[in-house]
Amino acid sequence: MPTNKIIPYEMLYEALCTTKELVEGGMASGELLVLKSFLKHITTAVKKYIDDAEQGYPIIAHHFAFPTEIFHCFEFVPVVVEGIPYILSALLPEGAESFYDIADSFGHPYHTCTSQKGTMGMTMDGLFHFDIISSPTSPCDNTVASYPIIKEFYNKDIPFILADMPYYRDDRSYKYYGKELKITIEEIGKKIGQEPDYEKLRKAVDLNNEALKYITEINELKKAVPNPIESMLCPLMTAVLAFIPGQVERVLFFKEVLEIAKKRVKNGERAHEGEEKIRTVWPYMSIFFDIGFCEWLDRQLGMTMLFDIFNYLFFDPVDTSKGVDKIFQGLAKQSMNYPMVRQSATFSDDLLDDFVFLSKEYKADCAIFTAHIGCKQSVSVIQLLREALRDELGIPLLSIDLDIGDARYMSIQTIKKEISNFVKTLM
Amino acid sequence: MTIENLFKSTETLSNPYIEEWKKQNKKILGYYCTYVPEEIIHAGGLMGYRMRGTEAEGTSRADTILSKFNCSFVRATLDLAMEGKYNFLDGLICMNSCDHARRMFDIWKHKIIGQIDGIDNNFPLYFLSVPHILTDRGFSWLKEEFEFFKSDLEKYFKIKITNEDLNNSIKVLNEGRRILKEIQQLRALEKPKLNGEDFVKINIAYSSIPKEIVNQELKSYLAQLKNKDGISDYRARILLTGSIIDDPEFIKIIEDVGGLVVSDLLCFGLRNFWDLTEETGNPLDAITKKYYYKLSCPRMMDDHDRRYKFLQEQIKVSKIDGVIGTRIEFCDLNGCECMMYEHELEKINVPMLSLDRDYFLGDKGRFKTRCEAFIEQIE
Ligand code: SF4
Ligand code: SF4
Repeated sequence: MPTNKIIPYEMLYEALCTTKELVEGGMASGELLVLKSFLKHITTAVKKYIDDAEQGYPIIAHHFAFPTEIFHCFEFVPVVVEGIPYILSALLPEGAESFYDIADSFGHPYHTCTSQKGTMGMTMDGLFHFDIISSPTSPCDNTVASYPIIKEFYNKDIPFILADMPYYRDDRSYKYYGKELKITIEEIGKKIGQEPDYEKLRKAVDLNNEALKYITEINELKKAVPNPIESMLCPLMTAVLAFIPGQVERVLFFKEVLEIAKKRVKNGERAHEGEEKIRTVWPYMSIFFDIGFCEWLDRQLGMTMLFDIFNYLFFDPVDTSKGVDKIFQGLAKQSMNYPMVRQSATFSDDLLDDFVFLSKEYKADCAIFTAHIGCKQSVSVIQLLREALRDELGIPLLSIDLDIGDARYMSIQTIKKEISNFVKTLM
Repeated sequence: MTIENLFKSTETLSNPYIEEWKKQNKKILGYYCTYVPEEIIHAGGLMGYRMRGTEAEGTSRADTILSKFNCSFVRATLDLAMEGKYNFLDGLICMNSCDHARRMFDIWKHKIIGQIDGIDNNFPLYFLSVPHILTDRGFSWLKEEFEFFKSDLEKYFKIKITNEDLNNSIKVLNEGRRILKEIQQLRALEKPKLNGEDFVKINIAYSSIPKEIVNQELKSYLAQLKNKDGISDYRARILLTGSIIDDPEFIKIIEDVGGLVVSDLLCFGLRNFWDLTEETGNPLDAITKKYYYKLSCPRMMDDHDRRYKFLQEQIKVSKIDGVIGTRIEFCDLNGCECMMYEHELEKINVPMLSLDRDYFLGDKGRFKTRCEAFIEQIE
């Protein structure tokens, strides 16, 4: 058995430390506050995973769409399959492209989602050794198609535990999926020889509930004009949700961001010098492969990214007072309405309604849709959304064909040019 | 009717049988996927019709709605719907089959219904949520889905579907499947009695002509086939798998260069008729069992091993020399599945050719060259 089973997390840890040093050393104390807070907490969390892996805790490779809190029943190390290539694409100077290429060279179709392809490449390269692979059956074909490859080819004998997610969003479906989650945990427990500790689960869910409270308050403050929060919060929040589930660092991060936002709202400030010229919603994601992209939006264009797909968590906290089954059902409901799952894994009406609502409520001037080559169910509804925003609010939508995590599909220069040209049409 | 008529009916979306059916004021429900329970539709006196891209000349209309990253087959079907060519349908059934096809529910809802001549605001749109893994829980879920579907049909079309109706429909559908299986056996002979091009036509006809009629025709075709000389002037026996193929022309390209397609794992092929529905017990149980546990497609996330086993069996039974896997661009499900087969087959020394394509056979010359080279290599 290899001693280090999560080498990409070590790469991530090093990249985080270097970035932290640069940001703390190179920036004035009032600058990039959200990024600084992010780096502090995520570095602590990732270090803990590395230490736990060294202790020999089982490595659970899981889909981002799982409510990762459920694994807190165990002593474990989480590897969020979709998260690691994208965070590395942001932090490593050479991006994560070499890992996509490894999977491609194996015959993997070029148009599948790089989020999973990256981890596949890392696994093929011997950088990951999982003890369990676990995923829901949604939100996309990439999930359905890629996980069996990760399992079949590189981890043949490793338990592959799936939770089936129905297509609807109703009580029947939440009940069904809640049971699926519970069975998933029971099966994982058997495979790794640990009894699920539901008290630990409850604590993790409580921590997430606390973080949710702060997220809701932050979202409320973003209604202010100018928006008090830097656009970079959008991709950073994606990383926090994926990498720091059910942990105190998650709570601390959102608490600190809230404090920053409150102070700025009180003073009528934005995060940057200059005027807020354009308020945007991003119905899909921000760009991951260029860490400076959001700063460019804020500073060069005076453009605020109010929300991307990963930022509007307008769901109820999970009730932890009524026993384990209720917790699982609450988690099922929450995770079936989790960012990207809500918009991808069911009918498109939620996505359309959400972004019309958000654009109106948050006084957006336009929407920018990053049409990610991997995400077929998302790109299918761009025109429906464009028409909904135009007809109901009279605001335009720009869509750009690209790969969120691969700078080679469309370069950051071209993306910036497209956005700049679009901005000219708005002025 | 002759087999020529049957074949001819596959060249267009609608056909004389459909026209006749509509004249009798009977209804037709379109559907996208082999997981839609045709027995229930049939038991309601309705006709099921598998969506196709036949007759599409391009996707320019559909491209105003969908993205270039969407499967060109789905875009072709949408283009036809936007052109009004699907207005012989009286309803559409979608399901969570693949990411492209499932979005047709949303797009029909917002862009077709009430906006295309002949498809008015009352046009019913159904959705079936089919589990992606095989478990007892999933079975119960699917059975409920089928129950809801049955009662929705009853309500909308003001019909009653009894167990007797279902039992009868199971028999009718099984009859067709048995005939197709027999034809498949004739295809697997040393000297196959028919080529792959005709076989796909039969499958298309089977999914676009009322079942009682098509069953009769297939029965007499089967009898004719039995007395026919087999084909011996081929260079290699091919099994075809991958993304949807509803264009016989594609198979013709392979067969024109000496390959003979004698088996497949395709939606207009074995996947659609291989499994029979049990004819005893509770009919809805039997129908659920058949659709849930049937020869699956890559949308079933935990069933690759079973599919690969079936592929190996077919390679043996049909004495396959080589496998051709085709992926319509952006079809993640079949793209990944074909990639897995390629590696697995390599280990057991079965040659496989992977072809990327568009739904429209743009560059036939390129296909021809690649197929020819492959056949030369395995001959
Ligand atoms: S980005 Fe889209 S395709 Fe990729 S994992 Fe998420 S839902 Fe799936
Ligand atoms: S060919 Fe692939 S992408 Fe196209 S409809 Fe079929 S499964 Fe979906």
